[in-house]
Amino acid sequence: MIETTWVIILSFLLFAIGTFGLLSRRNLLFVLLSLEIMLNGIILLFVAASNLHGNNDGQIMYLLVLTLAASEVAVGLALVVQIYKQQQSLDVDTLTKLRG
Amino acid sequence: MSLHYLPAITLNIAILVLLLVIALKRSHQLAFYITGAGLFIACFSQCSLLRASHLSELHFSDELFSFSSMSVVLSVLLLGILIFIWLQLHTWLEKHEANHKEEFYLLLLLAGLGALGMIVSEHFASFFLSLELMSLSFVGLIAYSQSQPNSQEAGIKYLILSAVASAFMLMGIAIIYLQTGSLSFQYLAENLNNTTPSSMLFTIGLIFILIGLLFKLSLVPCHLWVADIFEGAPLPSTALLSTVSKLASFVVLWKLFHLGNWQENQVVLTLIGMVAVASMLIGNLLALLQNSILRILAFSSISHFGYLLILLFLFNHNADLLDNPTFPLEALLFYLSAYLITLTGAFSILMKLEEEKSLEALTGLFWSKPLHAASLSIVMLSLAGIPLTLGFMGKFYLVTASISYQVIWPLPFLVIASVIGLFFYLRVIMVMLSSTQTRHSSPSTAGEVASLWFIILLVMSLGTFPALFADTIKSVVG
Repeated sequence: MIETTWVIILSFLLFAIGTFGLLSRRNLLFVLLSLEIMLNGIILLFVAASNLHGNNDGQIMYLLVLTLAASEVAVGLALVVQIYKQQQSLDVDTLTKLRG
Repeated sequence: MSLHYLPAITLNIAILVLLLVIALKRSHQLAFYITGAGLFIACFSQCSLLRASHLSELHFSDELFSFSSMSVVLSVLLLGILIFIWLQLHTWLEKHEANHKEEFYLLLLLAGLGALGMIVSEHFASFFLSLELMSLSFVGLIAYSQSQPNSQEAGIKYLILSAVASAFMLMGIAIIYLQTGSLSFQYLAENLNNTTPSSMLFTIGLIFILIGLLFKLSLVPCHLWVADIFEGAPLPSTALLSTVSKLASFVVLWKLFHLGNWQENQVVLTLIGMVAVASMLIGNLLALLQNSILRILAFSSISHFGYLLILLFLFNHNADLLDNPTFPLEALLFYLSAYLITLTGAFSILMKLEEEKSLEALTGLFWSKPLHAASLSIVMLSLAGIPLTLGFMGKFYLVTASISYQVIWPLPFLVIASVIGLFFYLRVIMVMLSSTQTRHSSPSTAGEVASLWFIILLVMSLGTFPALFADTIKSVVG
């Protein structure tokens, strides 16, 4: 049995790695991947907390967050395909036509 | 099963029927009428709930959702905005979208359903699900237009930023769950007062949730996306995003502020205070520099929600000069509905103009389309808060409430920000007044004229005789 503290630390680390990846990566696909890593960190925290308190709410949240991650990627990838068709590039920096 | 779920069930049925209809036979007319029927029945059942029973009997709650007279009124407001935008959607889509017009209605209904769920949510799970239902539909709405390349860029921007915001919010929820072992707002409200020893972690969780909500409300540290998306997205989506999504997010923020004893949590209060002041000033200052009417509206919405944040300081506050404990709530409802009605009016006027994006396109509008220009100027005056308009009464309520609770410090900022605001609201009117060679303009239809008059009359009459509206709100809150 792993102690809960370690799981919590791991989940915070995953969240931080995801945030860092989101800020530093320039490719849209990697941005979406970093988002997934963030969400996975959160999922881990929910499961750990649910184990700590001995109720099932956290595990239900796990299912809900998983659903969110799947639908977000579905919408995101559809948009990525559209953008690639138009611009032949997935670089975030070239995607800035809207500037005020 | 309670009658309270009827509006949401109606919207659900409308969505399913619309999906089937689109799969079997594409018809813009049919999709339009199905959406309208769904929205009207939902609004009607919500109104009949308000009318039939005594107000105190409206309270009903179960594990995931809770209903009160307040939530019923907010839902009616939400459905009213949706109906008003729906009325203009048919002509707009006919003019601007070549193919695939039907799915717009589907996404509109889904976003409406999500916002309806957020208003009545009483549990982090239901709040989160409704929020995501709303945001993902908005991604579709923003990236809808296939002819405009900017629309897809705005869509992917909104998708990524809203996903980050919801990730932060989820992290906050997870931290609070780790601390308390419960996801229900009710449980938090009961157990927050005897603060747990390691309340540092709890504060961090709250701040994470606040960051997510601040993003949805486009308040200052998280406001950079809003102008790009207002400019890139199709106009009806922008209208929905700035009214429906912000209404629902603000209601959730208000609900969170009702939990427990926030006045003692100094960190969160300082944070909200800074955000409020910065949003008021920066929103209006940035709007000065803009050359597109949509960007002006985007930045003015930042400052308007900055004003609204002042009201959050008044809840659970002890000093009360008027001896009227529900007054902040009345002020909140009045300001929120006044602002949203005015903004919906502004967007529906813009939807009727052909060339709406830049400020130069409005030059000389008073000479080519006097009625459009007059209604747009009245809406602008109402946003600026000039007397005899709805916006003035909202601001009056807000200032009275915060003086009666002796929360004076934000008011100088409010006054300064309003004065700055006058510059760009009046600039829009000046541009419309300046004369150019008269352009030929297509004659407006009867429906257009009727809806323009409706906007003018609504903004002016509620601003001149606010008593009726105020009494309704008072009876709902009290």
